[in-house]
Amino acid sequence: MTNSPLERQSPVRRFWNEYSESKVAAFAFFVLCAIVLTAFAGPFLTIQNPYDLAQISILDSSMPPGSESMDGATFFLGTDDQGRDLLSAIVYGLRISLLVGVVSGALAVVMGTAIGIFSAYAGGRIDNAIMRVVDLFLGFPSFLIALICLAVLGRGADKVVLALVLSQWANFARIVRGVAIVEREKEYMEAAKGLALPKTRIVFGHLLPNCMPPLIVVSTMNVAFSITLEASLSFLGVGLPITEPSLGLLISNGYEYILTGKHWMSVYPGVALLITVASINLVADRLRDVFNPRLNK
Amino acid sequence: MMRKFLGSALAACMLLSWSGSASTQELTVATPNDPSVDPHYLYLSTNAAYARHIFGKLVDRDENARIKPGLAVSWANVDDLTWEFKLREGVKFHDGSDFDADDVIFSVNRIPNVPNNPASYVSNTNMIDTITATDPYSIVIKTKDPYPLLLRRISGVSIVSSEAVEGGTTADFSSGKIAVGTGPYKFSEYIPGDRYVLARNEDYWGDKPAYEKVTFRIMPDAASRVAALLGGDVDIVEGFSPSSVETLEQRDGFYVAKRASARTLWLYIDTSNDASPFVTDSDGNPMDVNPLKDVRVRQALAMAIDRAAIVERIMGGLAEEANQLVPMGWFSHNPDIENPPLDAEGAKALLAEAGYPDGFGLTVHAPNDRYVNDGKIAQAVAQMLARIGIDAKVETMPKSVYFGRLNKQEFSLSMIGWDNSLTGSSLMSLSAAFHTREPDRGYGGWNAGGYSNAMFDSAIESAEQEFDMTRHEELLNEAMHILIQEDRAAIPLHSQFTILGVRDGVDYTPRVDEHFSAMLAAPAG
Repeated sequence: MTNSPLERQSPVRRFWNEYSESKVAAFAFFVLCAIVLTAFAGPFLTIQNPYDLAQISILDSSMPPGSESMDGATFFLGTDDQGRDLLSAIVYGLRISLLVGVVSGALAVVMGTAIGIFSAYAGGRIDNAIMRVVDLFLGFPSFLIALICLAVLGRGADKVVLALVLSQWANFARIVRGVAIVEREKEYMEAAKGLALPKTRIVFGHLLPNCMPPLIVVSTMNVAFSITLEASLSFLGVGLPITEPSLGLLISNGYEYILTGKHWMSVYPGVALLITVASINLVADRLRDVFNPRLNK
Repeated sequence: MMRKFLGSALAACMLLSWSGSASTQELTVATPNDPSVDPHYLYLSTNAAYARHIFGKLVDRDENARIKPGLAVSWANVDDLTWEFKLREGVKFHDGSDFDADDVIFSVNRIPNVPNNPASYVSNTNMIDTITATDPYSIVIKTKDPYPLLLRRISGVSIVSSEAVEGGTTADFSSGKIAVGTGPYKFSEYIPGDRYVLARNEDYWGDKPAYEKVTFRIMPDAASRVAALLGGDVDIVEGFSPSSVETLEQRDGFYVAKRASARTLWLYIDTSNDASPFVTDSDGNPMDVNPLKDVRVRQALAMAIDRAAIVERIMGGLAEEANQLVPMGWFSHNPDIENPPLDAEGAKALLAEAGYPDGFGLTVHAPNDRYVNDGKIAQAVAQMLARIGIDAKVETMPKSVYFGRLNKQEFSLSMIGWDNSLTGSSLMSLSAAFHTREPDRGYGGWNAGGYSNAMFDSAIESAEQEFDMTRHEELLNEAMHILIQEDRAAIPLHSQFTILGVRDGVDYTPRVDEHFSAMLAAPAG
């Protein structure tokens, strides 16, 4: 326990040294940083706001990569069937995907952790009852839960986030409870109880920090999963409004043209999604290795 | 063990190759539409098309929308109110029972009484005052008012077996229990969302269709339908996307069957709600006035729509710009109606004049699985509205949800595509979609914009009773002029083409009403 890399005294530097032993993971981390930066700086980089209907024109629709628009701008990755510049649409789509992924991931972690820790700490009947509810949620595929939520709630980014949280919190509750139950029995917890510390301090000051390493790994992976899930939902046409396409919807729009030779409409958004999800997963994989005490020399 | 495995592998291969080579006796059709097996439930043209396979009618419409004899061999218009029909003798229902006048009377009486019917066929029967049998093979229909288009109306009335259907429900039709008609095909199997299978009626009174068995594979996704055709799983694809036409035409072994259809797409405008459900002010707050009630605003909307761009960029040229609700060349197409010029600045000026210099928020609603490129057209319309300063949004939904909400007038600007082939004129669309809602008289059953204009109503009512076809057309033209040119109460977009992808080896010629008919398909050569 003493050499846990998350303790305050262990420097970020040491962590990074260990992390970057894997060159692939280091590269993935930089790619991810670049993606996040691009997504956030998006509005300053793109030639148009693809969500502003007044800025796009169907007269520019389905143009191949490198074409010029009526007012002289260049569509480096071509345009989609509504005349959106694909590069701009991908950058804006990434913004939505990342935002939805991170926000829903974070909310699901907070909700799942709170419930999981409470369940483990309370134990007994309460634990039992909570875990049966968790079982119920885990019994359904998360995709199905999200689909049902969106069918009831309708469209919009906030609704997608809610649907993703509802479909994923149970995972975290289960994981956190598992870890917390093990931690609960350890000596430092007995010591904390023996000192008659307040319950909140025991839970938040001692129990929670020791549950963090697995949680960080799972929540990172979960961001990638959320992004994929959101893309799948959009691909099916539920989720975000069609005038504000995220990556999934861009792929879905272009899918119809894949047999017609206008491959750019779905290939480029697909590649963007692939790179994003792959880099997040590589980072999460490496985090898991770094945090795994058994792999530590 | 090994031998057994080889044996089953061989059998599987044989099975695969056998199903791959489509038999000449079997036709497989990929369609986006689930059927209503009950021919009196949910009046959509896709359902009317399915119904033609199993059920007969007194008179039918051929592939060019002309009237032809069906279960009636002859008819006479005795006076303005009275029609006599001679029925075809010796016709058998699929269950072996005889067809006679009782079945006709039963069917006409059943139409208004199908429970929970979201869109009834009653507009095709409500002009009938009495229907009586003078003998088992003669009937007399008396209309409430003079009704020259009676034949066209009853060409939309499917005849079911009175013995089989008495007391039965729409669900009994779907299960096949009472799906008993006189048509060229019999019900064989229906699995909702998956397939609808028909078998040839060997005792059919007319020309027997070429294929013994027809399977409709229900595939809502356009790209999957194309893939199924290219992969050899289906012979014909209904609802073929214009974007894939070029690809298919370049491939060996397939061809595209296309034809300008009688269906015109237009936008309903909510002209009656005091506060329209999807209109907001320019900051997104609800408004307590409905700007769409102002004709200047509607004129501005009409001036924003670039139809040439829609036809060229979205429909791939496979559509014709429309300036009214019937396509050019059809009876009752009014040549004096013109679209206002495309003029964004003029439209902005009109909006300012009407008191909306900053525009307002407006959502365009459309189905996403009903018409050719419906969702994309809605987005293009929104783009065009954005150019005149309207904060336009788009919401699309599956037709199963869309049409119910549309007809409850829950939208502000909404898309519909109307097939004009039943009456062969503008009469049906004008009386159903724009006459003041009067369900008892069969008017306004689809009036989803709430339009109401007394002069328009009286023109429609007079036209409906006018036997002189020149005068009849004049009255319809007058009504269309009021609706479109004066009131701008609807925005015509375009008339679409019906497009099908077909495998070589199958001959198919589309109908003008877009109805898919397995009876028109035949092995090539």
